[in-house]
Amino acid sequence: MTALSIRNLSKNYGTFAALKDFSAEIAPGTVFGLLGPNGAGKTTTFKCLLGLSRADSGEALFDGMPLQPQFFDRIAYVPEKSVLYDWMTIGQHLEMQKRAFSAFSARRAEELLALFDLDPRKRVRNLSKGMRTGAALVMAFSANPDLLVLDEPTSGLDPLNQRAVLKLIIDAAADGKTIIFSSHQIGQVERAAEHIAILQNGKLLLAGAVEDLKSEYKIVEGIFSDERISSNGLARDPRVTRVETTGRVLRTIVRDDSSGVAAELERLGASNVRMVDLNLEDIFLNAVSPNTPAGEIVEQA
Amino acid sequence: MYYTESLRAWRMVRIFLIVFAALFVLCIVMRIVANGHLNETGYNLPPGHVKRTVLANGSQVTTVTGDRGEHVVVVRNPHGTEDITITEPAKKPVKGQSATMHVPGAMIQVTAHGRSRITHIHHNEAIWLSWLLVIASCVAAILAAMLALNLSRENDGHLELCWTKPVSRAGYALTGVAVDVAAIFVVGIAWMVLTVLTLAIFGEAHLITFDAGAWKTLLFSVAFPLSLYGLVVALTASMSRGAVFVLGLFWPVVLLFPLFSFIQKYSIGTIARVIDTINPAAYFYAFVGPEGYGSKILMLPATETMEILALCAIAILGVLASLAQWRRLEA
Repeated sequence: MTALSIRNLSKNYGTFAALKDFSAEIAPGTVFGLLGPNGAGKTTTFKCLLGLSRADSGEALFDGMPLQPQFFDRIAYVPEKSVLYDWMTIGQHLEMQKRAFSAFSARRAEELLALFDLDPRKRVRNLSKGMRTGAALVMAFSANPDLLVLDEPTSGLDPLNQRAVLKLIIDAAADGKTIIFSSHQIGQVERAAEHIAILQNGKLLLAGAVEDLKSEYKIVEGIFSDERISSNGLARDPRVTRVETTGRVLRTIVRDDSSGVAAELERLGASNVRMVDLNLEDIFLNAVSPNTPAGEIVEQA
Repeated sequence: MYYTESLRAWRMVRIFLIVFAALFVLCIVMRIVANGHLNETGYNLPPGHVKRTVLANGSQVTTVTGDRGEHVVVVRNPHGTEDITITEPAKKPVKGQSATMHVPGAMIQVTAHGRSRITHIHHNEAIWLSWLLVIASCVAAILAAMLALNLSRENDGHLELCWTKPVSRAGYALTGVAVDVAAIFVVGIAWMVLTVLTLAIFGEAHLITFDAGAWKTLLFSVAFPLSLYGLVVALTASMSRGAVFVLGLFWPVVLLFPLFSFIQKYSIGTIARVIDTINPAAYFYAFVGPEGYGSKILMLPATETMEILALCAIAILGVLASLAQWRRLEA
């Protein structure tokens, strides 16, 4: 089991700040989801974490110690883009893993090959994007690591295999492995991750336990008779962090006193006012929507 | 850690071995076609009357008068040289024609006139081991330059795979270098073995002589491909796909650059000699060229020992420079 402590990691590419002062504590045996739009700094975080890129400042500690080459015996990394050798077969890649990682399990590799329906005799150059991702996942999971770092692990996979990957992640966590992964499929992160961090433009916007974040906010929405909805000051209400309108529906994200905001909507003439639990997608959108500070009305198509 | 590089190296070595095997088969075919014209020890002399005599000076003479009018005289001299004269009827009448060819260890002269053709082969000297070693080192050098792109190939989208193994970056790179060096030796040795076998099937193997300079040439022929490896790996370690372009330019530049040493204008010759200090090809020319040639193209004292040491230094410094670049890279 590996505890991971990320402290104030920053990385600049020239004048572009790819990661700004990112910190996170990841407890052993947990699944940590890293969310963010494209270019948010997720891959940079992984690369700095694993020493593939040099961080300009900050550090990552594995069980309290800076990364050492021998630690990689217990770490597996699946990058977003395929890094496999085109001219080698899947079987040769697995042989490479077997020789490199002390806990590699050939039996596990066979099971995973069957799961992803991969032929070990096939050369990587003949594989589709999804199959390459599958092969990379087979390599990572069959090395039986304590820490799995997965950058978009479901990228290019069909829905069945996406579900299989999710199950692998959840099962691995149940076995006490620590998993840190990124995905654009927020629903998947919500299912698998216990803790999340949301990055945007290299900056940490939000972090915490998924359940805590979900319970902190509520959606209060109501239907108006006219499409020309007036928020009548809702946007400036300190209890409301976000107001959206879609047609005749006005939707607010409320931090405290959701009942009070519901009463306010009714007072403004809304019908069918209801309070809904937030999902991770709402939390994500609430955090990253550009140019929409809390309290502004967002018109959605 | 060595697995990927060993697969990669084996793919290249296999191509070299296939070419060697094809050349060897070609030699066997040539030997069969030559049909005993070269040497009595081939025992492929034409059927007919054979007469053996020993001359007063100890020379063994074998005369074969073939059933179809061929006449072969093989004179094996006591000091190891041989003269073979083959007189055979030509298929068509020809006017006077003559051709002479010099190959290591032999001079072959073919004369045709009227309805007869005379081939005279004079094995006039030994085949120095040094020659064979120099040729083997050239073959190994071709492979060395190709294998030296190993770090740039990893840099072409595979660093995440290399650097997440339980070994340091330097350890990973050095393991690859060790595999490549082994592959270079394998190809060099395979070439030498096939050369000896080829000479044997032509009945020439006994002419191979361990000459006085063979030990130094052996060291040189090891150092030469390794120095090329060191230079290419240093030039390309931090590159990705562009490395293949660099290798394409590498050979003509390295092979032709020493020529600038002879240009006296604007100190071009002096500058070229300075740059040639890190050019393995300059040391090669100095080593195999005529006496005094080395001092024209090199700044360093052109002694064989110095040339070997310089090549070793290029190899080691090249690998160290590549390691420094490799450690600074980012995925």
